[in-house]
Amino acid sequence: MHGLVRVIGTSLLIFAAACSHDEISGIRELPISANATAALATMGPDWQVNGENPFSCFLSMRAESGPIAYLYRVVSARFPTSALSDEGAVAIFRYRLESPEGEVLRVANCVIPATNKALRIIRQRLDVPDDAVQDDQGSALMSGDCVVKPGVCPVEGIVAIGEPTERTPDGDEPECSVPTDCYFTPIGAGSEGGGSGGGGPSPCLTCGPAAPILRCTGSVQRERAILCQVSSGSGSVPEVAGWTFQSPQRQIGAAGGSPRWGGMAVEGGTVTAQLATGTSLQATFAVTPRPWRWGMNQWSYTQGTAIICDSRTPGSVLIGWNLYSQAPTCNGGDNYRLQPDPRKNNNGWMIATVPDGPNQGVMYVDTITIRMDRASNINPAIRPGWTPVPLSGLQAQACGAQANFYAFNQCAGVNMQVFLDALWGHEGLGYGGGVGHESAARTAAVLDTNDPYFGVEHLVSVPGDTPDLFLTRIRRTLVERGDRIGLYAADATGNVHGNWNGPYYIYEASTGAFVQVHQSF
Amino acid sequence: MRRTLLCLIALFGSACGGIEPPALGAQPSSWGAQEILRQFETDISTNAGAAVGVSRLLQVLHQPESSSAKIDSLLAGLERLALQSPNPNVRQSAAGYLLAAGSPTEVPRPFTQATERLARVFENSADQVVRHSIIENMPRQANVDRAIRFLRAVATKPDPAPQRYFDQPDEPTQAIEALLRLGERGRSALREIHSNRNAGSARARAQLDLLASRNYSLTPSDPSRRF
Repeated sequence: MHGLVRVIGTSLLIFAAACSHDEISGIRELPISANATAALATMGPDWQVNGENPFSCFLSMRAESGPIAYLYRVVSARFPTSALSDEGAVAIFRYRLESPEGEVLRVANCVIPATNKALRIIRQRLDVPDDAVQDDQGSALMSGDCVVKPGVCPVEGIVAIGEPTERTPDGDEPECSVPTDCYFTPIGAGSEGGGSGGGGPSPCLTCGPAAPILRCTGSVQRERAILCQVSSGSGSVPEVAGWTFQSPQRQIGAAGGSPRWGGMAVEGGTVTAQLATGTSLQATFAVTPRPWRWGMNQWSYTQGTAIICDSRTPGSVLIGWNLYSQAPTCNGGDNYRLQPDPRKNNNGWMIATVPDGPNQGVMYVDTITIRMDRASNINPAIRPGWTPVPLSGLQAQACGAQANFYAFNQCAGVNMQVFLDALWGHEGLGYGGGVGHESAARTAAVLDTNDPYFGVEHLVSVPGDTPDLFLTRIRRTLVERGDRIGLYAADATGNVHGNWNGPYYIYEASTGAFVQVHQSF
Repeated sequence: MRRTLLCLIALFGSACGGIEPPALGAQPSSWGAQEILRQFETDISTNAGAAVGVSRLLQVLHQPESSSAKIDSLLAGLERLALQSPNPNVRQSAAGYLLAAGSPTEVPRPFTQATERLARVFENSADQVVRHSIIENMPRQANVDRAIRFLRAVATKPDPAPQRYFDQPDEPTQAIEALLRLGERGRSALREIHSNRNAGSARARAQLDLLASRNYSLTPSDPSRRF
């Protein structure tokens, strides 16, 4: 078992080694669920290659430990011009290394130029032993078809039995224009994601296991710590002269001296360790969002507790309203959907600055508490028992000399209990299958384009920002979202509906009579 | 424990973090107005976390040394985006930053010409969020004269889709509510509209009647009354 561990460690580096001319660069990693052993299957019709470079390999290696059986990587490989087919023909090259016990240690499925030189090169790069034999067992590995057009596709399947060994370059080395500038390219492990990388000056195909490597925590949730560390297979830790973080928005540097650089992460990017030897190592890390979403804890609603905005008999006056529960007035300026009102202040959130590490100095949203606490009420003049208004003519004959809104409508055949229930539902959570202002607002608030929490979770400052500018950006983001929620839940957009659809009667003071209106709300 | 490691910035930003050092080639002044606007549009469209265009826009609006030509170009670009962008989020953001440009609570030296541009956006926009937001936030404009003129015009213009009987105000009623927040000058405009009986909807006229009965006070006559 120890031998296997050693061999696999070597094989990983051999797979990764390439000079910058014959670059092997990662172009795609499959998600874990896609099965790390995918390379064991033949390349099918969905096989995709890098559009700029049609020659690619799908590599798998037996993992040393952990829950993932195989490390895998899709890489593109460049070939010297002299190795290309004049007609652009390609071939499929398949290689499988098995242990004497039959365990698959390494698999490669490659698209290569259909030339003998390309075949020699790929065998060298993949460290195929000279005594490897062509598979004649009819296995799946041998059943591939042409997958890149145009081209002819001689299929070659090679199987080797034994342990991987490091290969020494020979005289048939591929052409390499910059043989002294060879870098390792990371081999992605399905379980960790964001990876590692390393490198150093080295001739082609001789990047050995002792080369230093930079690894960063692959992926962390925003506001959690990441750590990048330089290590070396030889045991001696190389001296780091300086550190740099790079993202599209910024470059942040730090002095060297330590093989480790870490801190709170709020923005992903690439970390470079500049070694004292002049070598640069790079690794990337990603930042994932915190689980900030609008939810049940962000709102409250009480029926019948809002202040009274109007108590005149309708009329062209309000018959119901949904307000901020603590609003001192009914004016729109005091009743913004989101509270604390982001139009007025920054009371609902705090920003912070990353104190050290790759994201040092970057501001982010540290906490946020935005709520939608609402309360409703209805015009008291539409309730039973309110002061009546005088009636005349036929209305007086039918319903008496005076009647209030409730009594007249009841007299005129309107089911006032249903009307009031529908009105409460309109202001709140709906009635009879309808949608109310409160339920509409909650529906709107969870949408990605409106969710206040989702909208600011990922905001970070950019170079040149002051705290005040950053706070303004947060505030504007929240106002835009609050405006959208508010309007979504407004009558005008039609999202509040289905609670009442029918006639009722309102009082026109100018004529002293009730008139019928037909309305749905 | 984490809190002790962080430099927290509380309300109104006691600037413990200071200014983030500019990155190489990232000086705000090195960006032209069109470049800022292009990046602004991208930022809003993609909901970018590190919104460079938005930030550059704010930096220019906050810098006293920004040239008036650049400011004008930016405001004109925001007006164009607020009216013409096919993306509603861009339209609404552009209008929001135009509002911010004219507001003393948002920028140290508000740009009074922003208010005129907002009035034009309102006049020509069919985006309900944009229209609603402009009326609602007009009282925050530094250019109070233009804000009152705008709100008076909206309050007296017949509303094409009045919400006569329900709780969400139509545009004339919303404008009346906004004028109420503009102090004595707003109240003066309201008295005039009320006496002329030329509010743009029945709902707005009824609301003005109510406000007149309360001497144009924001506070309801009996706010504590519950039913």
